[in-house]
Amino acid sequence: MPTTLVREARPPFRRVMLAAGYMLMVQSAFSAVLALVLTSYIEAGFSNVAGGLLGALEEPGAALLVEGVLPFLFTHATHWGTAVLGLFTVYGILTPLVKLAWLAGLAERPSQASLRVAVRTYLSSLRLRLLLAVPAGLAGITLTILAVYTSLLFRAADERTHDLALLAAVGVGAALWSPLFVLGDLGHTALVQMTLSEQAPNARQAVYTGLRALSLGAYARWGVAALVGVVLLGLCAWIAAAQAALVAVVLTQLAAYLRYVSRGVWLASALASTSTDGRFGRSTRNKAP
Amino acid sequence: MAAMRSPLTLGICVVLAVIAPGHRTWAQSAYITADEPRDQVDLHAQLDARAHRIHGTLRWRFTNRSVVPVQELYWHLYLNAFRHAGSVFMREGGSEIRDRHLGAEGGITITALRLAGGQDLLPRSTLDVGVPNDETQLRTRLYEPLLPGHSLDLRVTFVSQLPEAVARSGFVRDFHVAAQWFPKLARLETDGTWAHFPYHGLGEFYADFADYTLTVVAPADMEVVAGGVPMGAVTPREQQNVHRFSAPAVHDIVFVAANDLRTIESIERLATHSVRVRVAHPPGFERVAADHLAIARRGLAYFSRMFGEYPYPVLTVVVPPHAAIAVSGMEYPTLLLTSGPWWGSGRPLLGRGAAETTAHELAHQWFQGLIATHEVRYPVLDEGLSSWASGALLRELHGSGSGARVGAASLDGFELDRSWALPRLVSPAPLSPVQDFDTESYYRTQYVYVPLMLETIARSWGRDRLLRALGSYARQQRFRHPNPDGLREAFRTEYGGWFVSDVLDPALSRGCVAQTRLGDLETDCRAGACETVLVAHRSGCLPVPLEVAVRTRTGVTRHAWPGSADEIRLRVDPNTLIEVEVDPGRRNLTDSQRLDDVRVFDRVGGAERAPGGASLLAKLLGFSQLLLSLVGP
Repeated sequence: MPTTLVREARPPFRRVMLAAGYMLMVQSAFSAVLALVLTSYIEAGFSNVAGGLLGALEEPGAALLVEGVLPFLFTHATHWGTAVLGLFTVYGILTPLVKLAWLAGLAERPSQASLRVAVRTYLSSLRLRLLLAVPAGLAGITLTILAVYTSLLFRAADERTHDLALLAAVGVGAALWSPLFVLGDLGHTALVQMTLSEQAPNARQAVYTGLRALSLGAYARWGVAALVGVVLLGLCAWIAAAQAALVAVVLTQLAAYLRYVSRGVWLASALASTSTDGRFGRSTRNKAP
Repeated sequence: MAAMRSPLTLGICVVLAVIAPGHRTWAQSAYITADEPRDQVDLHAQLDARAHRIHGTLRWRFTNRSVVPVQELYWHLYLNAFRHAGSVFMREGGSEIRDRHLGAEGGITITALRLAGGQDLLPRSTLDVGVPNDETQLRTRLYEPLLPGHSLDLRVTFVSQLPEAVARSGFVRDFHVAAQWFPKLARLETDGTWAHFPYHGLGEFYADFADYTLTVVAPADMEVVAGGVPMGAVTPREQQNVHRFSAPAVHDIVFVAANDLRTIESIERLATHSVRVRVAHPPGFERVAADHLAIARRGLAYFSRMFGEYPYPVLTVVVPPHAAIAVSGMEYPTLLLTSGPWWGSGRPLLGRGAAETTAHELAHQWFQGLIATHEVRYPVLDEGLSSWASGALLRELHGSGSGARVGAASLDGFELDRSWALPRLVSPAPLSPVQDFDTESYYRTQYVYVPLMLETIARSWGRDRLLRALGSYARQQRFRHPNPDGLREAFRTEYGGWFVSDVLDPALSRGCVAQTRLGDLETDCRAGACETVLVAHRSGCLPVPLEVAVRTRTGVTRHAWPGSADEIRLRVDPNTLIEVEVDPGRRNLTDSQRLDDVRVFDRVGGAERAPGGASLLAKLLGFSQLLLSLVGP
């Protein structure tokens, strides 16, 4: 029935919001670990200065930065940086897995099944990222050439004209990257669709599927989701900065959740566009014996 | 009775009112310098912009103001520092200041050197003055001794090749800064010795006050600004323009030439005369140039009040393009080169804003320009004092946001320097000559430690007293060439002899600081009774009087900590103790580490609060959440 198809292809907001909730829980867990690492690091290594740091943090204005954070960072930046870098490495390794589970969840799979789908698709996801690294590198080279060429072209102009032209060139060059982000999302949804339809996930095939699904509309939806996410994060961070600690935490949690909702809407539509039957989360391709 | 004035009287009044400020603007008081009768220096420069070369002539009427006959002359040919990488300037890392490497070389070639009577002095001149691989000095033996009080007229013809700018002087594309561009006599001290020295990596200035006139012939499509007052209109001559300048009672003159250099200007009225403040800038810098102009005007007024009135009728500020950053941030009499991008603003920005450089170079108009100290021998009297003065100006203009203002947070410029640039040990000491420093230690000593030490004096013993001392020094040594004794004398008069021997001299000659830290809670049992004490320790040789604030549930008690005491023992009640802080008023800026000066205790129970408290954890949790959201899947 056409009416049924249309209704089923619309973004399933209930699932989007539910999946965003799961994502928030995962991210909050990581955030808590990161925060605990930082605080325990302070406890373990800097008990002598921690009191001073806390005292400085209680001072208004510049004291927060000047008396506390800056000297602390300058004195202990290396160890602190190493610890945080380690945590981010772990986070980077796990991110594809989390993303795949998220996509499977958006495709209305129970959480256990979502995890299974994510694990089965993980290596293909890494291969997909490697495949996309090639055009990303080419885009980077193009951006560099464009920037250098523009700089040379406007060398004789005054500095304001030169800088604005260079900024425009970098903007255009950076825009070359954005389709790759869209393609990356579409490729991942294609991979999940393959796994859901009992196929072996294939990164190259996922790229082709992603390329077929890549359209101006998809690009616009991705752009809107990214913009909304960034604006929400920035807004909440700005408001939270002047609030008490607990209120700030609630606000940042809310910002993170809304960001996942906005991105979830886009990913849900990406799932639909890479589905062979045009319906959200259901694929009948190659199902016949 | 005003209503009864005739129209004629009214008209005369109006005309007088209109022309009066103009007279005031150009009214020139007589300059009285320590170098009387002043030398007369007449320079003529023909700029070949394509070759970045200057064909120059120099007429110098030199008077022997020493007490002994002069047998020889010493010249500074500082452009020769850019002749090769082995010069003293290059060896001392002069090019590292702006992270540049020597490209197209520069130098001065003297083609004729004679007396006005025709006697050739060039064969009697040598570049070999005992500094290996350096050609920045020239010694000329006179035919006969020049007796005290007598004068001679020197005629020099020279060619100056400007280097591709690596520091201070040179060209970048069409932007030419002609600094140290002509053969310049070193300063003859009163005892007859010549204060001659090679062009150092970190110092160059020390010369007699003289009356300069300058003629620059440059291509017609180039704008030219220079130190001193422009004389008359620009005269066109065969696709070239002739620009004339007059700069009496200065010890140097430079000019800047570039295509399409634009100028805005305004009048700043001081107590006795007005100053025409001009800002020359490349196209595209219009908005930030207005900010530079505003800062220069307010700085002129402030420094004139504090250190004696700026005596010249003109001040020129040049904003170089970013490509010419190597020549930015330089001070010359009545002309300074500032820095900053076209999109900058007049607000301080962590040392990178338009305000900081303009304020600093403007301060040099006093500390080096008018009080013409030996920069190489006593850099503290030059860079050190200027760095504090510019910081004081920024505090005057921007209050607690003198370093930067981020949202509602004000960042104090001195505090920023203290927290991220103050060394624990100041070495070499501020009174050391420039050749004892490398670029890094020079910055940390002269640009960071000295201003912080002076600001500590201002905050601990009173800002007005410091301003009186420095103002007295600046006024007494105006148009003179003082050494640190002049500064000591001014401080002795204001604070007394003890201050010079206990505070100023230890700071200048040893780089003394006052580092403090809080110890742990101790139990002190005497005569059968025990009490809890908290000990605060002090190290360093700067005897700054401090204060310790003890906050308990019943209130705040402030304990005086004399500068002579190495520690202070505070009897505390652990059951009511909340927080202890050394120097809560942030007066001592020579302590590079403040984290060990504050101790926060639990508000209930007396145990020191666990560092990983709920507040900190919550803040870090929010921070982590935002961070991970940015990099999340």
